[in-house]
Amino acid sequence: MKKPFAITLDPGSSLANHTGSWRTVRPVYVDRLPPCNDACPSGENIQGWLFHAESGDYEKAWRLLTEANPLPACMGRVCYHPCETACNRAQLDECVGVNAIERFIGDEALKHGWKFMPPAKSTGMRVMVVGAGPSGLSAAYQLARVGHTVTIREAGPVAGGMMRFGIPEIPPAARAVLDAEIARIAALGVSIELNSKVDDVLAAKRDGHFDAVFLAVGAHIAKRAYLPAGSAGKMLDAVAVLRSMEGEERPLLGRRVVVYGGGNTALDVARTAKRLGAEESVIVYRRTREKMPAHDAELEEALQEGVLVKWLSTIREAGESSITVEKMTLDEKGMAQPTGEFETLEADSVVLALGQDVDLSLLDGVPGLELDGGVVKVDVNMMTGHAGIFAGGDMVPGERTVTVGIGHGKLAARNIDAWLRGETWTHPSRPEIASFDKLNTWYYSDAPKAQRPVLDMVRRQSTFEEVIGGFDPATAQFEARRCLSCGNCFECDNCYGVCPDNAVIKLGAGNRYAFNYDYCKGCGLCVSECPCGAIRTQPEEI
Amino acid sequence: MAATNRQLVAANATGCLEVFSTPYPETSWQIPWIHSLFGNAAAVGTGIAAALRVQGKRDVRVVAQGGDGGTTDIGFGCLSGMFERNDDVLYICYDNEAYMNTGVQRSSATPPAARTNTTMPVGESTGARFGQGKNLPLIAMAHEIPYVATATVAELRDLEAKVRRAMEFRGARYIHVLVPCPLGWGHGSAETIKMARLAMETALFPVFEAEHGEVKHVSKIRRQLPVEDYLRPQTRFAHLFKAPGHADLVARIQALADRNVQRFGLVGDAEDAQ
Amino acid sequence: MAEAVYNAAGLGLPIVMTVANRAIGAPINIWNDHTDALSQRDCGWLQLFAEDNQEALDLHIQAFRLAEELSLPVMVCMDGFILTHAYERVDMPTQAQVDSYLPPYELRQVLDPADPVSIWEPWSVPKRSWKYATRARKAAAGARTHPRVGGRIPARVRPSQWRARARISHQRRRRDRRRPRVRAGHDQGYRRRDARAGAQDRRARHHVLPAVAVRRGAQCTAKGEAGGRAEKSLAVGMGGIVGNNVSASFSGSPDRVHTVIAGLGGRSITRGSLHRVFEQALTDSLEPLTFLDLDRALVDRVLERERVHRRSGPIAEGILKDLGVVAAKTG
Repeated sequence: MKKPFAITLDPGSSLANHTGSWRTVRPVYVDRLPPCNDACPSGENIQGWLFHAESGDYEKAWRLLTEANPLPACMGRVCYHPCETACNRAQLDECVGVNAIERFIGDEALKHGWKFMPPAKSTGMRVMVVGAGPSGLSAAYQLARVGHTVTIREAGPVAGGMMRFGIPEIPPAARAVLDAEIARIAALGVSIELNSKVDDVLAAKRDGHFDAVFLAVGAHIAKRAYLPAGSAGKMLDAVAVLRSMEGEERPLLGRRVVVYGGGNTALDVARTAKRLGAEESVIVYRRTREKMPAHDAELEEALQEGVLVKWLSTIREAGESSITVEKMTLDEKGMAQPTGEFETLEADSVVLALGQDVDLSLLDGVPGLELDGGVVKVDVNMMTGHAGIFAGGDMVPGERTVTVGIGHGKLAARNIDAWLRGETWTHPSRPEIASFDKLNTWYYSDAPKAQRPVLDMVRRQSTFEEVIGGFDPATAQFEARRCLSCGNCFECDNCYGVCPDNAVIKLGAGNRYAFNYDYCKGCGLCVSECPCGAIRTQPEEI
Repeated sequence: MAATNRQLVAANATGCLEVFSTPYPETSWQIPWIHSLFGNAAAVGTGIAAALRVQGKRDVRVVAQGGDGGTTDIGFGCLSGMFERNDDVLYICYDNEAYMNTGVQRSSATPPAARTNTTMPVGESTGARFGQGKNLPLIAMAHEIPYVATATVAELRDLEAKVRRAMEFRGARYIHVLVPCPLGWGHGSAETIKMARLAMETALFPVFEAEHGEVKHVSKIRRQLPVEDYLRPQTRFAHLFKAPGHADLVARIQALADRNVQRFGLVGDAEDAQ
Repeated sequence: MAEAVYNAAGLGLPIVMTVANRAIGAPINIWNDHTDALSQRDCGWLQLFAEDNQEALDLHIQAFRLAEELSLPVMVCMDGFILTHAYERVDMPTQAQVDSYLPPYELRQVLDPADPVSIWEPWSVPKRSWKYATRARKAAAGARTHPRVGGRIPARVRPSQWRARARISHQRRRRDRRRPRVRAGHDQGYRRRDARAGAQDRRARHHVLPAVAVRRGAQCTAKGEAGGRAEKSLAVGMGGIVGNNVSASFSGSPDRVHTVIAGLGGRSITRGSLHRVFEQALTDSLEPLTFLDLDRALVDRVLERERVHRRSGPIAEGILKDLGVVAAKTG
């Protein structure tokens, strides 16, 4: 059309005005660290694998998950899931059931026989891992993946460490899962030598021509407390009780069992005692529930199963069929102080669960190696004071959980790999955390957490079946879709839709978006309306 | 646009949309577009529809659009005529509840107690009066035109769906979109969508669809929020909360919201109300 | 509505609008005068005034041709009390005749999704330029339609159609052509015997009156000593609207020009009244601005009262009170 007069204009001609120059702040796309990833002691990219699980691609999810943790089927059972505690969704309705999905994915992998990818080539380096617990297995797996030759030396007759011993979440019924996941690591070329105790680490390193060592022997020696015991009172230690669960003969604890301690092991024993037929299983703990080191979820499950807890109490004396308990009170500093009030409890046996010490005998005479309060000191790179010897898991300072152990194994493996190449591994800088206030949760519809089927109370108390069942695929996918994708764009098109300046460019599926700063005026709508907090405002440099 | 396969002609009333989109000698419109006057967008739309009919271009659809001033006040006669004749035009009103482009003067879509430059809360006055103004979606429904819908910028997909739905009808159609104005409402420009959302979630702005005068679908409120959540962040309502405050007025506004809940069945099962 | 009238002109839309002229007054007036159309004389439209129904028909066809050729909207104004309600036999041109006179319209501005454009009134097109251009167009409209200035758009579809017939403004004669007269549209009381002085049929067609056309028209017919205008509109304080335009076009001319305001509010223009005016004009006793049949004494009394009373109330109230039409209520 010929354009008469000045009233008929070519379409879109106002694009000549680069109105972006009015801007004083600009939005930028960012990837923030989701709280679940941040909280995971194993360093899993939880949100990443949930994303694949959402689309039903469980193998891809498993591959991403196992980059950090080679034991998802086990961890989906035993992990106390700090990720769920940190989950932003908990502030909306309920946290995403990460743990249950992990278990589902782990079980799927075993069902379908998915294997780890073998390393591209061998480095020719040899690493000895001492201890086949979670930390040792984790380190061995990570080292094998990058091509090192790994030998695990385990003092006991089976691999698995504390995962094997009487943890209620992995009862005998589920041990096949543990075996299968260990076998999968072995299939990667990791050699696991059982009944092969290392007495002198330097000698073993020299004799085996190892280039580096990772120590992960765990903490198995029960701490003792001085208790004036009357005649023939039955006193047992928690590690021994749990360990004996693996054997043919079940420990005899009697009808009334008192467990002394407040950690996760105390709960494990108390719950095991219930399953062994104890009518009463009482935990005696000197402080309050708030101060208890055991994880609350585990305590809750124990209480549901009928385990009783005597708070603010210490055992003063143990008799033949009873114990004397003194009531305590907390002082201003939160420490338990005796009150002088006593009470008597019936008890057929007393199990001490006051913590475990590390058997450090294999480290005698290692130059440079330092100890600290019964555990081995390591630097930020997980290396002991002796070059080439690294340590992790329960034998170094830190929280003693399976998940932390796996994280130590991974971290140590990275450092060992770097050290072997003459480098020093540095932790990549952690992005800002995608905290709840950065989200716009209105866009997420209400979706209460899916519940895993829970074994009936009666059967829980009396059997060693798995207390908590697994998800079916539909439930797992539903649950995965509850993930808010905190801090990381999932291409919802919100920014594209709300931008009043049409300044958001779609880059195509999987490639997210870009801002067209020629027209973006920096109003900040996209930042406010990004559901997952993946856009940040930053001042414009003028 | 997708709903009409880009076969669309737009008529625009005077207002912000017109002013910022066509800075002479340029235009941002990529579809055929015409601006005539403040109050005659509906009439121009009618004319375009008639011209297209004469030319036999049935696949080309017409949309007329205006702000609340151009729709509820100045262009109301033309719009009512368009409805009454059932002209084949989709009229979209972008309601920011006052004459914002000219400097925030009250329109018949300004809510009660709101401060505008012509309803300043000075002396005895407490902002715009209660009991005045028009509910244009309901007026449109009273014309029994094929399709009437309300929407907000907080739910763009809903808006998109409603435009699509509207394009399935022939005859006069009306969509009333709540568009908060940072300037006139007194909130941060990044909170525009949030304000629209709060208007919806407090039930002050019911979101629904009606066909031939009957409500067919209501967008349920997930959690009804107190109107105060919506009023407080806006400086146009600041006088309600400044000491000594006007708790009575907030209560009256809450009553308006509650009435919407009753009237449209905004709370309850997610199923369609009717 | 008035805003849209300007808008259409600004957009250059070739619209033809029929305007049935009526007086605008309070409380209400249903009779005819030209105050309505002439209040819009600066809106940028061409205004054609029809004398009778036949002319209304002819002018519409012509209006379309003007609008389409000049991209200007055109009003065809006709009396809104008598002509619009009268039945009269008119000559209808055939479709073929209209088509030959009015070629198919070539669209200039199209809202077409295949070739999208934005159309709106150009805010920033300098108004002076636009006004000037419009003025030039209007002059062009006059030139193109006026046979005496070489116009090429004939007033009728086919000149041969013109034939003497009985019309509402029938029996018009042009015997006395001594004095040119400019008039717009239909004068109710204009009759043959009064036409002694009124002869030049120079309708005020194209408002603002293309000055050149008016003056040329006047010059080519007028050797007379004086010119006169009767019109049915008034610019308060300035005299007749048409008259002012004519006067402006006569500026510098020795001709004496008189304005007679008549028929305001639809008041009848009677033969007797016109006769008196023409007599006065011929004897040079006509004032430059005359209100036909004005009751001078009445107006003087009202004005006197207004001078005395500070709050004199509406003018109409004062007049009616004087006439005794409004009773006690207004005191």
